[in-house]
Amino acid sequence: MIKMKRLLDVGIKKLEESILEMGSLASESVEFSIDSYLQGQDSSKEALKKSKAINSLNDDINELAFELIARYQPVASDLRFIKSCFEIAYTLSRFGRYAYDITLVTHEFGKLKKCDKSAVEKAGKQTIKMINASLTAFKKRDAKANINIHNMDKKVDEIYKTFIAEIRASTKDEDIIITRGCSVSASLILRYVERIADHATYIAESVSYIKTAKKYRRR
Amino acid sequence: MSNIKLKTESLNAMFNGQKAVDDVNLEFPKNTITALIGPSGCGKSTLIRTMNRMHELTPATDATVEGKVVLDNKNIYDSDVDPTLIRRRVGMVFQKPNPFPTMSIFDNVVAGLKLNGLRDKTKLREICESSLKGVALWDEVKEDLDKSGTSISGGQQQRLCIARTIAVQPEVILLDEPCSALDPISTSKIEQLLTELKKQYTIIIVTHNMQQAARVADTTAFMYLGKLIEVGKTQKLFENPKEEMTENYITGKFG
Repeated sequence: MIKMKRLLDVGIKKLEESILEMGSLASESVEFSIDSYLQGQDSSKEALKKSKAINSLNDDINELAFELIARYQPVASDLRFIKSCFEIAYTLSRFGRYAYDITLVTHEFGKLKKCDKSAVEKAGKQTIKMINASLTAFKKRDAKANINIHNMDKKVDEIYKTFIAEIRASTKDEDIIITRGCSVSASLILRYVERIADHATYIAESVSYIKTAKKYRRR
Repeated sequence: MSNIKLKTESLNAMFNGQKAVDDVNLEFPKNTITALIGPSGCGKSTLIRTMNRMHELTPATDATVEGKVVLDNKNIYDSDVDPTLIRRRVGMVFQKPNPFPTMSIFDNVVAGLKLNGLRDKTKLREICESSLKGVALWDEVKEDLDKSGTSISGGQQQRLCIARTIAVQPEVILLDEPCSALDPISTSKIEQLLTELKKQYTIIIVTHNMQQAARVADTTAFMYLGKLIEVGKTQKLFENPKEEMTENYITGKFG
């Protein structure tokens, strides 16, 4: 007897492969950017290239997922899979962008040879492990992996909090504490604000797409 | 006061002793649309035909029912119930539009009323107009009421059949794959109509089109081999069904 394959399955398989390819690129890109920072290398051009390649895969995944919905009106686990692929692909595209942002630090501040980079090294290693673990969970459809990955995330949060606390505790000089606090806080907030501004343009571009079908690449 | 208009209790429907519906317990809340889905032969059409006692009219078979179909707290299979009255309260629309071919559009709409003895022409005209308006057909046929019921398009004929059903003011409307013979535009009109009609009636629709169930139904029930496998809110059933068999059916892995 001929075993019929659902037409939708071909698309779902392709989506899975594309997510895994994108995940592998994103993980590699994050690792590359952290290594570049640790070694004081300005790798922003290469990181930008990688980010664009990841974004391009995100576009392909969006196109395919969109097509599968339009053609097959998937339901149940098929629909949940496709919805998750949209979200995962977007998240992976953010990894590529953050990796590029990391390389910009060396590009803007130089090699930073005298800096203690151990916290970044530790958090970076843990984060790369998390990316790979989450991709393995996706591949195996392991519904329980999120508990372990959630615990791994707590360690990264802890490294960040400890690092901030250590900045404060590293001197008793009030002026230095204030100056550092001002610089670090303003840098962090400006970065977030700058990203929010970028995303505001994405909303406007999405509106344009609704009306004109013109597609914009995420940056 | 109960919100349940109709329910089945331990319902079995047989053809020559063979179970086509097997121990089904289902509730249909007032002013909602419930879709019955499942592969061909799963018993969904038989199930709705038990709800207005049409099952027992199936020709050339010994069609019997066990269990209860409760309409407003009264089992419609009780010995003191008049099946004709039940069919007036629980109307039915079939797969293929079936206007009476020798009758005009007007006579098609009021056929049930005339059968019930209503002869007042003014009243008949009023009901004809309100019924055709109720199915959004009035503007399309108001100049042609004397033309044959079969002179209009298939989609219009199906709406005419729904108008004929609502003319006798039923409480429940059963629809057995009402759009399977219609084009997408006519299908869309019927679907819009159903969401309007549920404000006044309790609607139960058998459909093979799962997207149709997803679009119009508040509740969806999945049947297989005569048994009710799963029933739930439509969005929940299509996003995250509880039963593996439902999942496999709605995702097209079998059926």
